Amino acid sequence: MSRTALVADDSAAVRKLVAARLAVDGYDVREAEDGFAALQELERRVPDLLIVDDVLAGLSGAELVQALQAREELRSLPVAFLVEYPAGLRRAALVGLAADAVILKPFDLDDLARTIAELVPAP
Amino acid sequence: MNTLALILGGLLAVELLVLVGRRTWVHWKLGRRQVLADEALTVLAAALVTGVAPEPPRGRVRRRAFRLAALELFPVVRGSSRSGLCRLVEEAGLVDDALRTLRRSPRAFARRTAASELGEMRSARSAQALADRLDDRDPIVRVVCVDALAALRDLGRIDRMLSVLDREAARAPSEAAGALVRLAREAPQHVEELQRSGESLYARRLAALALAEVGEQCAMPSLLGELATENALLSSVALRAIARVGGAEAIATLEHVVVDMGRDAALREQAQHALERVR
Repeated sequence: MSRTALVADDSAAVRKLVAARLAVDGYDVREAEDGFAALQELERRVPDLLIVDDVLAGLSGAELVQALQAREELRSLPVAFLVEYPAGLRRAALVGLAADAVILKPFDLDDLARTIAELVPAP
Repeated sequence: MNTLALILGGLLAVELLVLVGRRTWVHWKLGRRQVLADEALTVLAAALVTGVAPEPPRGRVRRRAFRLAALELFPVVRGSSRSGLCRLVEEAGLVDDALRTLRRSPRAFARRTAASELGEMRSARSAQALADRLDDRDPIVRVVCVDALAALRDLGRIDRMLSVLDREAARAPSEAAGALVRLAREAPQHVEELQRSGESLYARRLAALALAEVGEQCAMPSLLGELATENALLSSVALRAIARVGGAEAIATLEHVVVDMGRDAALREQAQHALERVR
C-alpha cells in the first residue's frame, strides 16, 4: 500500500512542486489550498505525512497543528512546516509548535527530498 | 410611435444579447486560461522533478499559460532547482518569446512585462537584449532592464545602469526602488556611489533607503538628514530605514527621538516600536 501525504499551501505552485517530488517517492498526494480544507482532508483520512504552510487562509498552519495536537489519532502525524524565511521561522518558533521539520521557502528540491526522507524513512 | 417603440425595443434587446454573449465569452476564456495554467503548472513541476523536458507548448495561448506557470514556480525554488527551471524555460522557447517581445513590441507595457519576466527567469541569454533596452524610449522599461540585469548579476554596464536610475528614479519610483535594493545586495559600493554623487535628489534618497534595507551603515548620514526634516512622511520613512540599518548609532538615534518632545507624537511612538525590535 502506498504512503499518503497531504500538502496544504495557498500557492498552487508550491503544492504542485511538492506533490510532484513526493510522487517520485511513491506517495499518494492530496492537496489543500487553505486550513479548513486541510482539516477536512485530515478528518477524511489520516495521511502518513503532513506538509503545511504556516500562512494559510482560514485556519493558519500553526492553528492547524494545534488542532492536531488535541486529537489523539493525529498527535503522532509527522509534520513539516513550509515557512518564508525569516518571519515565518520566527513565528513557528514563537508558537512552540510541534513541527518535526521546517522547510524554508524558496527551497531546493534535493533539500526537500532529504528532509522528507529524514522525517518519514522509506519502508 | 409604435414603430419607434419597436425599433428602440429591438435595439435594447440586441444590446442585451451582445452583453450576455460577451460576458459568457469572457467567462469561458478565463476558465479555459485557468485550466491551461493549472495543466502547465503540473507539467512543469513534474519536469523539474524528473529532469525530463516536456514537449514545447504549441500555440500562443498554451505558450502564455506555460510562461505564467513558470513565473509562478521561479519564486518557489532556489539553487540547482532554479537553474533547472531556467533550463526548462529556455528549452521550451519561453525566453525567446520574451526576448522577441522586448526587442520588437511597439507597446511599452509589453516591453516592461517582458523585461521583468526575463529578470525573473535569469537566463544569461537575455543579458544583451536587456542591455540594449537601457536606451528604450520608455523610462519604466529602462529601469526594469536595470533591475533585470541586477537579477542576472550582470554588472558589466554598471555605469549605464546607475545613470538610468539617476535620471529615471522619479519617473519610475517603485521600479527604481526595487532595482536599487537588488543592486545594494549584489554590489553596495555602486549604490553608495549613487547615494553620494547622484544628480537627482530623489535617486540619492532611494539609494540611501536601499542601502538601509540591506543593513549598510553608509546610509546613516543621509538618513539622519532626512530624519531632521519637518516633512512627516520623509522623517517617518527615514526612521524606519534607520531601524533597518541597526547598530549602536541607530539605537542612539531612536532613543533620542523617543524623548524628543519637539518631535511629532506619532514619530516618537514609531521610534519606540522600532527600538523594541532593534534591541
